[in-house]
Amino acid sequence: MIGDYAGSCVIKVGIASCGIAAGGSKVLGTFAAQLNSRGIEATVKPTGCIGMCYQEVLAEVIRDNRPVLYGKVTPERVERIIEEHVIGGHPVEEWVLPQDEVDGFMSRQQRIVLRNCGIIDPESIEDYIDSGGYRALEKALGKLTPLGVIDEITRSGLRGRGGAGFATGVKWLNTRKAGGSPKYVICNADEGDPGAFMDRSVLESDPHTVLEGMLIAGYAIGAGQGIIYVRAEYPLAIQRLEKALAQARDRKLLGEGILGHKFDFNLNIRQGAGAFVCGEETALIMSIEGKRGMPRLRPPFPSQSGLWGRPTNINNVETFANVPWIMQHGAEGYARLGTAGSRGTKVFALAGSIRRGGLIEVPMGITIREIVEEIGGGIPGGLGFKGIQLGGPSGGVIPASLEDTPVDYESINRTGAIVGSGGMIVMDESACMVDIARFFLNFTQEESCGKCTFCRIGTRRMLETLERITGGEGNETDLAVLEELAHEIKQSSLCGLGQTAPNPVLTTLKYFRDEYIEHINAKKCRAKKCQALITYLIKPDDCPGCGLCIKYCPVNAITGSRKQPHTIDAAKCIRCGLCISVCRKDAVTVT
Amino acid sequence: MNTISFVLNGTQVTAPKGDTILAAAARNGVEIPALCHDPRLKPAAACRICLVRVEGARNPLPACATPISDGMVVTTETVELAKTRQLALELMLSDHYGDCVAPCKLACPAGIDIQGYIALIAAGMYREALSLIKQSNPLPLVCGRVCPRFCEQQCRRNTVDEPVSINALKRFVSDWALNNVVDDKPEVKQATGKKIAVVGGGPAGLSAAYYLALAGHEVSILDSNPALGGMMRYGIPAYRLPRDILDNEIAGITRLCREVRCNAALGRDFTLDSLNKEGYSAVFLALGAQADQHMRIDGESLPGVVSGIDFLRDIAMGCKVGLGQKVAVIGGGNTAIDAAQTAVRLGAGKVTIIYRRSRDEMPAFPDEIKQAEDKGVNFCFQAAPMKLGTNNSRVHSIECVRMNLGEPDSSGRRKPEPIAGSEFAMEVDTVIPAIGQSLKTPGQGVLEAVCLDGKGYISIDKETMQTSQNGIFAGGDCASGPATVVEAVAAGHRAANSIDRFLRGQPVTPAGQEYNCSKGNLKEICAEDYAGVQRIPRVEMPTLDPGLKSGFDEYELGFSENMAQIEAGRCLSCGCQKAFNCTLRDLATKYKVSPARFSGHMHKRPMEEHGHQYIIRDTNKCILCGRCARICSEVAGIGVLGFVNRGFETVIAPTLGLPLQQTDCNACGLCVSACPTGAILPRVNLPKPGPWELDDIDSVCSGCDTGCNIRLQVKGNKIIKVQPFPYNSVESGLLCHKGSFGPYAGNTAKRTKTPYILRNGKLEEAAWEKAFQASADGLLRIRDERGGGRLAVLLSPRLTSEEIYLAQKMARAALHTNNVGCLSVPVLNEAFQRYIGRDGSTSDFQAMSTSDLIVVYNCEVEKHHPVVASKVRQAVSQGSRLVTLSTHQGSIDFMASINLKVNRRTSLEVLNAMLSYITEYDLVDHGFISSCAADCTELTAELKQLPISKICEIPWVNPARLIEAANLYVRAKNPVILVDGDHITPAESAAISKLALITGNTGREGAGIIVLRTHCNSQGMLDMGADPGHLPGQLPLSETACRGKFELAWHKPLPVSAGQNAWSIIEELEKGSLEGLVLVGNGAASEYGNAIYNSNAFTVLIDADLPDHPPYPLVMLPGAYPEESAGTYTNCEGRVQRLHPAFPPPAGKSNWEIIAQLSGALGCSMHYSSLEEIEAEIAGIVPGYGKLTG
Repeated sequence: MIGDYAGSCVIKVGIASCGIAAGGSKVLGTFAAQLNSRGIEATVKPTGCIGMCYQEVLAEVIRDNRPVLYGKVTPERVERIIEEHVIGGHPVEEWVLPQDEVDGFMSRQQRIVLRNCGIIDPESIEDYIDSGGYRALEKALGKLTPLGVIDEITRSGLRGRGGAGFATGVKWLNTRKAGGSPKYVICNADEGDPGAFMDRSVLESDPHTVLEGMLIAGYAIGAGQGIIYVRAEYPLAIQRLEKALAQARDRKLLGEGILGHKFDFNLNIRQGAGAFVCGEETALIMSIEGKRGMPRLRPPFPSQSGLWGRPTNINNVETFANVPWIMQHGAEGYARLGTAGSRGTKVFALAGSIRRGGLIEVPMGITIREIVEEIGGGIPGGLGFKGIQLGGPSGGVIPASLEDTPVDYESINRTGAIVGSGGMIVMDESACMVDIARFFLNFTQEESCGKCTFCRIGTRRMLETLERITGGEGNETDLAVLEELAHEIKQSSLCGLGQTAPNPVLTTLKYFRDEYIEHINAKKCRAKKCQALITYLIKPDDCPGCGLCIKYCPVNAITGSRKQPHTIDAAKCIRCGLCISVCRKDAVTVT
Repeated sequence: MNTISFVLNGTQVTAPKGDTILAAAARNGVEIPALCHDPRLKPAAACRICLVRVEGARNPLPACATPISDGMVVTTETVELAKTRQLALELMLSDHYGDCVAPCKLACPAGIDIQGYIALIAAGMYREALSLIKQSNPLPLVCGRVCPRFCEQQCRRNTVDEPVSINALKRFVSDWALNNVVDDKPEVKQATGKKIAVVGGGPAGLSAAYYLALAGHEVSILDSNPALGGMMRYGIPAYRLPRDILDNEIAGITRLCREVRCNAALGRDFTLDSLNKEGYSAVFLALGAQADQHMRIDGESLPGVVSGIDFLRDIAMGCKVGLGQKVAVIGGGNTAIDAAQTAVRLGAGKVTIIYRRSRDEMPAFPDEIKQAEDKGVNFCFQAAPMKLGTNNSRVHSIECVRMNLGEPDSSGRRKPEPIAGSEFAMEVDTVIPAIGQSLKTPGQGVLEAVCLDGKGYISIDKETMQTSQNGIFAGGDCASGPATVVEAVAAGHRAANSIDRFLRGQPVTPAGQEYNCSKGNLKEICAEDYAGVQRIPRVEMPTLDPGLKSGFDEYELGFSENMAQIEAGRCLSCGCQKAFNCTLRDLATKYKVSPARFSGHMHKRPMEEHGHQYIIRDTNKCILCGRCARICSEVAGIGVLGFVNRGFETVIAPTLGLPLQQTDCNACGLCVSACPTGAILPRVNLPKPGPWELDDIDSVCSGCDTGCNIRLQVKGNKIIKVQPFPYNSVESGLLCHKGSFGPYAGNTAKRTKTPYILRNGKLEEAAWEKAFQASADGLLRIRDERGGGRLAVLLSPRLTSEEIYLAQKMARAALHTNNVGCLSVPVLNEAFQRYIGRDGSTSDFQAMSTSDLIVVYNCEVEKHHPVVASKVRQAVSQGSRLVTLSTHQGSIDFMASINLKVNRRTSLEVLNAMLSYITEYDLVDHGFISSCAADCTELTAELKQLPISKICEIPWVNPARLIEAANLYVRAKNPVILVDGDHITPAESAAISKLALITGNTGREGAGIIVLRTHCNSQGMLDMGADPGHLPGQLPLSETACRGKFELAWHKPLPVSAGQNAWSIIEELEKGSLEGLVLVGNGAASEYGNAIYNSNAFTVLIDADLPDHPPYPLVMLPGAYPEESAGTYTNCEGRVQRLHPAFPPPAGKSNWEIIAQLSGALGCSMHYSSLEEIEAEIAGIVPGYGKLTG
């Protein structure tokens, strides 16, 4: 994150989607306007996302080569920063992110994919080139044969970062060796997991690194055409990708005779309409071909018969973003990171009940505890750490008791969860595990393409069972039904969506079975999440009889005289929780 | 290596490389269940039913999509796989809203296919309806009168208005058969020589006897009474069941039996042991339960007290019973009602039924109670007799106590309890207790061999009807306790099935229960689903005057045909049309599913029932296998069906959510053939759709000359459905709308059964002989007076080759004219004959599917030959290139590598330009040309003169594309050209032929020309000599040798001068220069009828349909449709294919018989006794037809 800007003052404002959502554009605009009106010669430039989403808007003021990072900047704070820091040379200490905070978040990270994120201007190819961009391509085209490139990638141990973790080098080699032409390179940017935003951030913050990775892949496998399949819900990513493509074309980094070599490569963007299943590679290919995105049986794998029946290499955004670094720094440099089976780093979107949520990149093998406690800063609000959901709806929940599990493909798989594409949701004690399972299953069952029976109907029947359990109507056979269905759905579904859909249920059943049984037998939800299983009560000793709850209760379930303890009629109560939020004496409890 | 060796269920087997596990297994006799698999389609692996275990694979693999590989170890059946398949089916069925079988059938103890017989009644097929009923109930005359109608209680029509009068319809058809003396000859299986004794001739015994006799066994019925019938005779009064009706019904059964022994009582006249010694291999005990139960009150044995059973029996046997004026009947069942009504009819002044519960609890049928009321029977409810008083000689009074109704008891009825102090008395002359029946205990030791249950009935296995004694079965009242006739019939039928198995040495196991999906009982179903049903009042059963109090004439009179039609029309046809051939149902039965385990939300979507002319969609039964959507896009090339929504809400829907009929759907019906469930159905062209078990007749489609094989599915004389055949195969399995739905036409056509002769402007029925004579008189007069040249014969190209052959033979040999032809097929194309040897194709569809280039020349294949279009599409999707030269835009143009738009004039120029390009640049296959006949040298000489410079002058044609097309054709290994034989000009034919010849692309396997024609037997027309200038075998008429050959064979001199073509014939008819005509059509040729019949010519029409309005032909001889004809068609490939008639033509004569007989009347006798003789003659005389296909 240390810029290298000599001379006067540079102000960088993070405006990826997270920054913009927090008001980054306004902050950027305010800096520019005020500096301009004051006639101060300082450079104001946008950057992408540095990852500290919880502190957005982030602004970095680099004055006299000394960078200072401000968090939660608002347009109102701009004036004082300009006056005291830009003009006066004294950072506004009270708004500066404390160094231990920054160190806590950053020091355990190892940024390869995110190396430029939050540092360079994503809309400037010059910035990318200045930071070493397209040198890897130059090296590959100039110094290596295609097989040499594949060898480098193979030796690096890079595995596909989309979720399945298939060895990238092997995939490239298979596509290279497959008969038939033309061949295609596809970048899967159809990031669909709830809570995951790794690919979006990379595309918004450093699009050229993905382009460069695809170009190298194209050279390696002998493809002349690349397609970035990105979901239409990522308009900023699409906009920046389009800009990047135009810039690359202008600079002859795309087209014919790239960098003077006998290598032609073109890239297009295809927008997906937001079907989760289109993240599955065969469905994605169908979607590009203009058909309904429905997975088909593999084999044949896309490397043999992919887009339009031709050999096709599909990797996700993060995988491609690793490629330029590996080419530049060598396979060994990458392979040194991580564990024996899982080399390199992995980007995670850290979210949920965590103090420092955001985008992080860590070496493989780091433990869950290190991520949660050290990088994430632990659980806020004094609640205990209950578990962590890895791998989105296809993954599972790892309980706090396994927090020393290293984050690598093998170890995580052993828990029943998967590394997945990088969604990481931290849960505290207030999370109901049955409800969590229900939430994720609801997602997958809605996103099932409907083609195969187990996924289409089986997940729905599992969901209905979970709904019965959280609705207080569970019975003793439900768990057996859930397990029977889960087993068959996993074993007999056609594609990854179905094969992994029961994972959240299975892992929560494995680690939190007592909670399920409590829901079914005792009709009790210990996290007090499941509305049908909770009762609102007013503690008579604490109730001042102020009448506020009576006033707010939308269904007139609360009665009581003034200055006398009130009572809630459980039959009328709809468990909306308004009384809790309005009570000044915390007299309302949930049991 | 093209063969793969792998292990299938432990056996080493082989299959060709490229086979999927499913295909390879099928090849080796192992069937793997599947729902989404269709060999016509690319595998989808969606339904997950065909999952199999492959050694080394972590999860089971879909057999439909996994190719076999060397050394693969496949297991297709394991406990685990069965569980997976069961679960998949249960999941599918947990969201499957429909009725496999209608609730009425399920409610019927005998399981009669009620929906089926009502649909047959609605179609006027009474004979078939009766035989369907008799498959489950051999006593329709009886049951049609006395059945308690459990079916009507469950009738879905209850939610709309009133139930369908199911039983009255049953009575209607059985009465119809009786009144019309329709002898229903049931099929009796081969005799087994086994003897069975049926003890007891009541409904159970008779039913068992009937089905055992049909199974081929020798049945003896032994009965203790003077006549058979049991309670039907001795318990049901004649006004409900006339004795002649009963006798008739029984006679129909006993004539199938070996022997009937009346007055033979078990224990008295014979024993089980004695039967055994007599050689009976099995015994069915149907003894009934004719002993009455006692009231257990004082005075029960007084004179004047007679049990209901005895009373009715006495009356039935003709005994006089003195009743007096006041009669009390005790009880609330049907016997009580019958006894009360009988008492009224015998003249008793006051008849009172005393029943201890209220009217609602009475077990008697409501209609019967109503009838009794009408007759003036009094009811005394909630009262029970306490004791009977006497005037010393006879019963005089009855003392009763009032009853209070308490909580429901085990029977579900409220338990009567006496109210203390409420006693009252009633004066009576006769008391008839009718409170129940029991088994009449046979003598000591008689039933020792079999165990009795706690109530004294014979103890049996309720499924197999087996008693505790091997070989002895029992059923009916003696085993179940008193019940209804229909229950006894069911018991007898079940017993017959078990006894049959027993006698055949098979294990006597219960018949497996078929899986049945149900929308739920009357309470569970959604009344809104029936909101749109039109309300039609139930037809009232006509009766004698209700007030009439005497006489034992039948009270209910039965339905008239009109009433039956109205009532049959009320049936909602609840059961699924696919019930008899639903793959889903079969698998559900096989894997013993219980979908209720996964009950949850179930979709209930409106049915797309009214709209599309041919197709009905019910997405509630869709299992999302996607076969319809895939076949629509992959094979039909239309793609109007597709998946919509995601997850559980996914549904197959037409384009843009439109109703199917508003899409581009061309009604090819392939989706119907692909659907494994009842989600897509053909609209049956009948008042009610059935379903029924259908007879399969394999035949050939008469829609065009593609010659698609079809399977006609027939009931009686109606074609119900058509399937592509071989069904589901890659080789064919294709049909278009003409095949799928065309053959239904005959279902509605008005058909005549007799010939007609036109007299004074009016058609008059005539006998065949008269009609033939009239035809011959008229035609011969013209021939003899004016010459054969004044006569003509016009034929339909939908006639069989045999019919065409006979017709032209008649024209030439009998009428002495060469004026023979067809309006829809042009005269023989001599250009083709000259260059490629004959007018016809030199290539076939097989070659097309492996061809690397297909050229479609001015041929609207999608319109006229949709199946050929599908074949083109398949070939292109497998890598073949396509070049189209067309005047019309068609959907296959989009698949073409090159599409040259031409018009009628420029198309020939394009061909010539290609020829000149090929010769100019010497792309000619000289080797080929020199290897073939001499006139090919002349061919190249001609080509030299074609000006190549003209290429650039053809309007609207891009010369570069033209040259590219020519190059593609020259370079292709096996190019096939498709042309439209009906419209191609001789010049175009010559150019096309030359193109194929100079490039060496004809006359060898794989390459050539396919000549397509619109009408199905166009090639047969040309080959059978229906041409003014050619004899059979396309032999020129002008050559004496050719003529001589036929003169010799036909023993007649043939006319020498060439005839006129069909168009000239019409013109000449109008001008009056032609004076007589024989028109042989089957629907197709009559479109020119007006022009023909308006002329003054003498016209004889042989056709399936009579023109429905004037002008008329002078003689009309009613013929047959293709679906009613036997014979052969020659398709465009030259393949000779056999037609099989679905049923005989209504007038009884096939077309060839009519032609032959007419020819005979004309003096040229044709003594063919069978079609085979004609075929033998053709084989001997027509070149190329030496061997007809079987």
